Amino acid sequence: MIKTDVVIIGSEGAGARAALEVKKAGLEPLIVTKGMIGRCGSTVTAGADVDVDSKSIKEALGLNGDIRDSKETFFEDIIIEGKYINNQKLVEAHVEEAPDRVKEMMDWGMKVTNVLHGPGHRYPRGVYTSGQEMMRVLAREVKRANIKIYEHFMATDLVKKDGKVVGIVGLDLSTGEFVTISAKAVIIATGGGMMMYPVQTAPEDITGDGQAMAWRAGASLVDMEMIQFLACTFITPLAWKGLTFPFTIGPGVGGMEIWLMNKFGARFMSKWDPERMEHSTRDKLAIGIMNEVIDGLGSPAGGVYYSLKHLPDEIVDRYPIERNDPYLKPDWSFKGFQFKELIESMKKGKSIEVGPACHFFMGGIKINKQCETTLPGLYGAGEVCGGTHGGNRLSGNACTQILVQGKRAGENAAAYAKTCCHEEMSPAEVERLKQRVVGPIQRDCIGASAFELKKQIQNVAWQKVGVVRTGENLISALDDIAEIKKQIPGIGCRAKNRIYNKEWIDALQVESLITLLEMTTKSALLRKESRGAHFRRDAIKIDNENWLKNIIIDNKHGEVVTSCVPLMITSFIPPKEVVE
Amino acid sequence: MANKKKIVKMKVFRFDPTVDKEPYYDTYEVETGVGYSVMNALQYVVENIDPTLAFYASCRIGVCMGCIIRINGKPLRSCATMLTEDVVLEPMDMKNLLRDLTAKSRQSL
Repeated sequence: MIKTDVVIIGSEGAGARAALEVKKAGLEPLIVTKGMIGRCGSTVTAGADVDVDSKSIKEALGLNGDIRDSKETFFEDIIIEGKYINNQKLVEAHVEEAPDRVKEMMDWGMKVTNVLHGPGHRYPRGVYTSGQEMMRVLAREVKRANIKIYEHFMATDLVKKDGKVVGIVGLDLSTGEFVTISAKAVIIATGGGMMMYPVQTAPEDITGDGQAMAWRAGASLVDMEMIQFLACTFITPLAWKGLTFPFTIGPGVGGMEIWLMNKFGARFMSKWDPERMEHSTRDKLAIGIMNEVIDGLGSPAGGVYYSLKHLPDEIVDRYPIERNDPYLKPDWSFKGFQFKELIESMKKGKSIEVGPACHFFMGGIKINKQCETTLPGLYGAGEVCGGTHGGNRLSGNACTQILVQGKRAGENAAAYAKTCCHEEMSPAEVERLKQRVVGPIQRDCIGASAFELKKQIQNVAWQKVGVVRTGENLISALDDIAEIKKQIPGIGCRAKNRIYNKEWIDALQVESLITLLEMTTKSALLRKESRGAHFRRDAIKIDNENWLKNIIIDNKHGEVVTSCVPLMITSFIPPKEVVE
Repeated sequence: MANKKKIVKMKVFRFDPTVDKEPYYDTYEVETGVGYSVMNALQYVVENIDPTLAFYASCRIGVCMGCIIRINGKPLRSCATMLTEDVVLEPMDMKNLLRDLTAKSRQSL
């Protein structure tokens, strides 16, 4: 048994930032991570713009900001683009503390390339750096602070005593041992759950473990129907699947005027956003593309055609030279992949097939402004938590969220931990949690393998709980989920290696993914309207009369149960009417 | 991109310190031609041929650097290296080796 003051699950943006704060408060943090710091998680994959109101960019950061902006305007934009269901207390903390958090990162040595103006923002608010750079800085600070990191440790469950969270259990992937960690407080910072879908911009390890373990322990979750898809990633070939290169050079901020076409060559975005067309917001692009696909008007690989043939060579050739993006190089290499040959063929008329990839979970564990979950002793930070972004996230706000909430969670968890002692864990409870973890390696593989079940989950998610949803498909998905759930307690591993066994890891991850899918499906079924990233083909209007609410997910005797609660409004009163 | 289908042999370093006295190599045959990276091929092997193979995969898009292994002796990202010909795959870091192609990072507890 390991003992520490505060255990932080997740080593990247939110987790690392939280750990620094715990240490600063004079307590001993322990970071546990399924991967390795800076070598896993979503932060490192970020673009990355970090949003701060433009006035503070100028005045507090000394960069090229616009003083006409204000924290209030930034606050409003987040709620307008979030389609009014954001938790306004979380947004207040977000806009209020963003300048200090980014300033601090710059003081620690974070290099900034420029300031970007992302869609949906009234002013340029994206302080542009890279996820690698953010993690370089945070990992160095963690090392400097002598914070312990337990790498290759997969947290599997929270342990409670008298209703309070008093530690965690999990699997040491480097030995195959079941490990118990006693702590006065626990912070979850495990990111989203994008691996629930077959195409994703996020890493392999983003499997919703944090959301699932919080739910199993009885914490509430919120807005789980709200999942952001980034339109225009490659969908083929396999090695490029989910790569954001087409988005970056096209519909993304500072991209070229590319065209998206259906199989008849029609630029279908005219139906969804005639003014902005291919430069529309992420939600509209994804919804536009998938409606073409569903209507049988897509490309062979299940997306749409993406072309730049109409652009003069000079424009295309100058683009990577003048772009000034940390990942796109003048020779068309992007994050280690070389696209020069592809671009040359595209100039001559070749199109590529693109589609939406799962990019971000707006929903997650329910927290308040102090980053407290509904369970005493449990805190959350970053994408694993819901409420900040409402129904759609603005470009650049994910990186701000991890910094703001990382600090808040660390600070508040430390304050709480100072009032607590380590608690005895019930041996029977620990044994029950152990059986769930060691089960797959002890059982023989009789039914479907963990790999097969993961694919089944991803297919159900994509076909029935994807970008375009209907009540009928969602109900059918619940049947599929019930079938898959029956098989999970029997998953066995063919491979019996104790050290870093991928089949074993997936057996545990599949349990997280199915819980996540059930939460998303039930929430999406309940919300009988379309709002932000949640698009119901059988209810296409934004129904402000009936649906200015949040959907909460709870664990009632092991069942995923949904209910509606009123919005958390502080100063921004949403409109009341139904919008087409 | 490779357009024609062809069979590629991957000779992979294997070692489980709890079982093996010394390292050995296994050779797997993978059909390419569908634009496989080395990482895609390793994943194919684990899912379809040999579930005991261990390797590290995270971002898949060339930024986390967690998947760097020796490909024909050169340290390369397995996600950003296309599989077009026969290859020998070995771990990057023998000193911190966990099993097969996976290693601990130097910062571990």
